[in-house]
Amino acid sequence: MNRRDSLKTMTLSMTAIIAGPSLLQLLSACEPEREQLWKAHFLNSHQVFIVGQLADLILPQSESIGALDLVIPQFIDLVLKNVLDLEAQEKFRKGGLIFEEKFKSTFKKEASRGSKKEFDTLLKQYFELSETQQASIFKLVNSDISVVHNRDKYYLYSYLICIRHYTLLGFYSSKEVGTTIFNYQPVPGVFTPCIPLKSVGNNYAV
Amino acid sequence: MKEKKHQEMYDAIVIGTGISGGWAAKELCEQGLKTLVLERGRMVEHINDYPTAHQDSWDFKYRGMPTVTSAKTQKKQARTGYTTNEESKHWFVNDLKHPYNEDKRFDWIRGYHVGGRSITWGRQTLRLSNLDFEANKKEGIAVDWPIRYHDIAPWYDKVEEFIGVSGEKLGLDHLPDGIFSPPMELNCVETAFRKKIKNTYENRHLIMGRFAHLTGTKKHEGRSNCLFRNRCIRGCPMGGYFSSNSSTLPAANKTNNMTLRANSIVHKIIYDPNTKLATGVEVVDRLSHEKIIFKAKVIFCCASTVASTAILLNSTSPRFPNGMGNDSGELGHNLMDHHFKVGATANVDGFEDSFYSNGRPTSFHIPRFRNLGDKKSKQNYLRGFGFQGSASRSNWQRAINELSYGKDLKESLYKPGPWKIGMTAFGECLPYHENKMYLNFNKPNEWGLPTVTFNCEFKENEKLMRADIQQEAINMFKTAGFKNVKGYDQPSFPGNSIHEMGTARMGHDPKTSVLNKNNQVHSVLNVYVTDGACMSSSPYQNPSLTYMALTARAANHASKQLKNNIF
Repeated sequence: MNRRDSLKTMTLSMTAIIAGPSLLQLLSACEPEREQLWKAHFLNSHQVFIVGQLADLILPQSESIGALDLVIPQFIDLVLKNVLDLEAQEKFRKGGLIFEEKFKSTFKKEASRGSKKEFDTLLKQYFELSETQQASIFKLVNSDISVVHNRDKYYLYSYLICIRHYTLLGFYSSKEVGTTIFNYQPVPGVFTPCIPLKSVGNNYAV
Repeated sequence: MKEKKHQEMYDAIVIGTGISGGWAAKELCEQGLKTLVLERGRMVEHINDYPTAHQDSWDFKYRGMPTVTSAKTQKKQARTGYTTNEESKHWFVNDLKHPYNEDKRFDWIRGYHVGGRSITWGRQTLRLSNLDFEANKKEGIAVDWPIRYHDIAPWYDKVEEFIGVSGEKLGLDHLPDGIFSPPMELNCVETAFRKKIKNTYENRHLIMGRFAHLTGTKKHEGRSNCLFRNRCIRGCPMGGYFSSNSSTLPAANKTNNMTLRANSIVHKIIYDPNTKLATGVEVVDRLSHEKIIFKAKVIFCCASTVASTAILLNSTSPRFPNGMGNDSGELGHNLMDHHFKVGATANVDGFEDSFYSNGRPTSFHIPRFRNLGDKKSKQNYLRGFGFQGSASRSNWQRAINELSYGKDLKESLYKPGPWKIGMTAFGECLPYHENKMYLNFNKPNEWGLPTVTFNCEFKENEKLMRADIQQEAINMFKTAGFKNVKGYDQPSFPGNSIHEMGTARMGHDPKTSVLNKNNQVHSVLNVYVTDGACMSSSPYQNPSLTYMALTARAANHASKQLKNNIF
């Protein structure tokens, strides 16, 4: 079985073992009132839904697993609670509120009732930017807040970039991606300095 | 607090178990001396006590990031940007429990445990040369080193044979060759860069760095060759790289002459004015706070530059009101560290179909090419620097600073990204008398001992050197045809390269230095200081090899003195 085949089958077989909660999470993502199978410690149920929608758009399921298969919102919740300091947590909260307001003013409904398509529409608006525009966004979010004029934009992008960053981190440093998609070689044994890329395929697990 | 006197008289006491202490223990024990080795921190046994050595990224709850709770305890240790991640935070101290003071910012990065920073060191193993040993004298800076290359060369040989150094001979006078096992290999891009440099510059060379990793066929007891796991900072259960825990301490232990006592904070060396010798050390037990005195005929200070100096400064007596051996007033002064975090990065085209196997833990090295004594290499500053760097294909993290999303992003990040290359320099810092550390008795620590205060900064010579470093990094990358070449010069504070040195310098004259040519305190000859404190200057080469060689040399000197009943 080649790697690609194994990924396809894994996506299905993992539902019972690893991604089981995430499927329910997907269901719950459609209905925020439904009880989570994992308990959020930082996000409320509406925010879990929103973060889930965004993570799913950032790294969707395709032929290979996506962010929700790995319950990445749970990882993000954990990071928000235990890794971000109070200032960063507050920045995230403010950005989340602005995002929810933008969603409401755009679609005339609460973000927690939004569809995937609506989230995608909004995310496109914020993320589909030229390289120069993206560079200015990163310059903005890395600025000291005291010198920022457009604070709504600052908080909004800080929030979105935070979710994107930890979605990528949680996904690409996961066991599932590390051992079934990346090349997992914890003990290479030897070093070969120059080899054809095609002999390796995907990158090494980090 | 009750004071306990230990009745047993040891031949030698070694303070510290890091890269210098391990060597002192091995050499003294192998010379047949009954040696007490004191370590202020906890016990760490090779193989058994490397808790993260076999963990993958997903085994770390926060994927490597320190939690807020953890970060609060290691704010200063975190200044390196890498030391306090989940994989290695247990090797670095709790700053709240082990505070220090800064008149000016100094990043004092410490590991309080058996093995010290020999577990987490960078493993680059470079010899000094006469260009370095003669520089102070030729330029009229500070004091002359009391030794020259021929004094230390056989000890470099001895150390390299034992620790195992992989490297490439180059034949340069100012970066002497050593005893090497086969070097690790440069990848395609690094090899191409090497050729460009060779064809472009008369006096510049790119080699694979010289690292204390085992390669080749030579056997080293209890250790195996490097397996390219690239998890060195966690401790290597195979002993693929040199550490006290894998190498020198087991060798010392094998002699049955070593007594290793962890949790023993040495804070004072006891002086006998009648014999003009030290008689032992005062210790506070880290856990019980009990005070204990241990006696020995010879004392080796290997506690690290700052800690050894602090012990000497705290060892006051009527004869030494300003600290043991401080007749010159230089004890605690001339604090140096390499300045770094300056260099360049670039993108590399033309190698899209090439890759490398995983896990090389080493980097390339461009030895010093400035101020070599000829007119051509002379600059508007003194001394020099060397580059260390690597080329690699980026991983998924290349997408962090952009805003793409969706299926294409996800799947593109499974693949290796474009080639990038980067290098930073380690630059020499001159010994300035006013760069110093001193004790603050008004701010005692948990054990009632004075804390250390730093007042140290890089000055004009270092700043001029940094401008040259950045420009030359840019020039070399552009010459090589690399794209998007960007120089950088990030803030570099003393201490951050973890090569602090110089606070009990060697010299010819007791009036201007603390130690003699054998690393003995001028005025207390049975006290040796062989860690970084002894350095009279800070040549650009990573200094650990020199500490090891000087320690081995001094230990053998001390052994002869003891056998001849001089102490």
